[in-house]
Amino acid sequence: MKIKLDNLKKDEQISLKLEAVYEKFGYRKFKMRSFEEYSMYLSYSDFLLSKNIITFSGLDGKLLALRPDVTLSIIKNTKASKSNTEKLFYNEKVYREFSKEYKEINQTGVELIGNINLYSYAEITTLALKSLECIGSDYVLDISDMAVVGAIIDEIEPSDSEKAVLYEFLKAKNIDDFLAYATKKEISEEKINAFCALIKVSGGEKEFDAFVKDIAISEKISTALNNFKAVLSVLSKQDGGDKINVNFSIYGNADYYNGLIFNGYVQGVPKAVLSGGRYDKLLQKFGKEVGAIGFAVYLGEIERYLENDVPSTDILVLFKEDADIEELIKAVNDLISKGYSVRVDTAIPEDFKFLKLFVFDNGCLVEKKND
Amino acid sequence: MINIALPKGRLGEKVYKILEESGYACPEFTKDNRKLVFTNEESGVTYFWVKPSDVPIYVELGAADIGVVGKDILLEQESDVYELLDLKMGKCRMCVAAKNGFIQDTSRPLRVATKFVNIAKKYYNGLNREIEVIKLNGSIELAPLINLSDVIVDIVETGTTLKENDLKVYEEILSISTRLIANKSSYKFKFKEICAIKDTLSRVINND
Repeated sequence: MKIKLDNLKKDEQISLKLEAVYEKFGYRKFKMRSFEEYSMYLSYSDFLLSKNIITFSGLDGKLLALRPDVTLSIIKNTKASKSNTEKLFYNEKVYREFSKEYKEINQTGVELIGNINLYSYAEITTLALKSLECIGSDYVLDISDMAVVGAIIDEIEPSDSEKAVLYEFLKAKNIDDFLAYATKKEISEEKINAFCALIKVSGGEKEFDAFVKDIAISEKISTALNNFKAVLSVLSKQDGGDKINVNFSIYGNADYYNGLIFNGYVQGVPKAVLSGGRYDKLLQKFGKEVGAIGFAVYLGEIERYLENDVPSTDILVLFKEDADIEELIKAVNDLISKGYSVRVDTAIPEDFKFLKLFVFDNGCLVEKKND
Repeated sequence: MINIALPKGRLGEKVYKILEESGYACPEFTKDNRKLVFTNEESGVTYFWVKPSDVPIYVELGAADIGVVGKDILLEQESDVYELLDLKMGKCRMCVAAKNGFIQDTSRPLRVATKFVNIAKKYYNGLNREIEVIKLNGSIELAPLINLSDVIVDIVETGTTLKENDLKVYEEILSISTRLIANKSSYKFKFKEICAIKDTLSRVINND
């Protein structure tokens, strides 16, 4: 039987394309059950996008949760070690709060756990770029480095609560409020310039280079910058590398992420459709001394902005209830065996698209031309 | 084409005036009519007049690429947008105000009447003070006068309304002004156009 991919919804088509891309790079599909013990999410709630989780009691009385996230389940189950790297992808439903309501959201993603090296960075960003390409023709992959951002923020020497304020300025690209804050806190001009440069960076390798001088105000920052530049140089030269945009305003929770973090945008979708990064620190919290990098594609986010064609059926057959049903079944099966999709009804249904209309009359099908 | 959400009212008109003089004019825009969308293909801009508190929604969801909105609304709605420029207009303060002679009873939760529930909660959370929020939509100043609340959290411009109602500023929470905001995705795909508008506004404002 012929399966028509065109009849799938756009997000379903995208998710099949994504799976094909990940399989080509040797990633294995990981399937998991929909429930997890609630206690796991409670321990790592800061990692989750939303802290509201649907819970219920299991048959043994343990509190279970409908999975709000996939990465934590993968980490819990991984057998990866420094000498045994796992490359996985998933295509699952997750359940979490979205616009103040619980929603079932399709999520696809990739995780590379084990020995992380420069090739891993290149491979994961390639997969991220190819994923974005599956979604739209014009796309951008914003990348940042937690080590660079952390080093500059430490240089300003803020208290814990002030750190959060500085991250807010960076996240919102809010230079004016930072300047007001810096004047109040008597921060040196050199540090002000460095932080403002960090906010302003937006562009490829060349554009970023123009800001490096302003940012590199200490040994620690210079080291972090040099490491980032070495990675950026490799990433920019790969296929689609011109779509990489350095932007330090990406937010990654410093308790979980370290190193490279990134967000993907597609023209026409107002929010990031892909997000990920290196998260060794999260694995450490699970007591696993290995590296990890990965990303998730938010198909639920995309779905609302894609225009789906209303799927159409090839043939609509109308019949009267006193017709010879046995002959009708035969005629319909005949059409289906020829490869057509057929809907049989007594009247034309509302909001229904079809290409041809047949009327079953006197034991045979007669085509009615559409007006 | 850049879509710009402007707040209905004096502020929106003032910002439009600057943009108009800087080459982003839309001749039909200022005419007194009931149209809601105005496009000028030549200068590559489309303007919408929207309710001020709706501006961040239009921008966050990408219906507008950029918008003009008060910091109070941004903080209250916790919008996920870039805040590109302080337009230094509509300056005022977000304050806690109380009746003259008010003495706080710290042994019970403070009753706070406000339109800005999130801002009030965040402020008092930071002070570790338990409060009971009373959400009002207008005439906030009335609440402490008739003992509906102990204090109010509201915007103070000149302080005249407070004075006339026997109220005074008890604590200042933060300064407010109007901001230019941008959608995070549009900022990547229309970077040059958005930066050109930002730089134009910045030049005019800082020369004033």
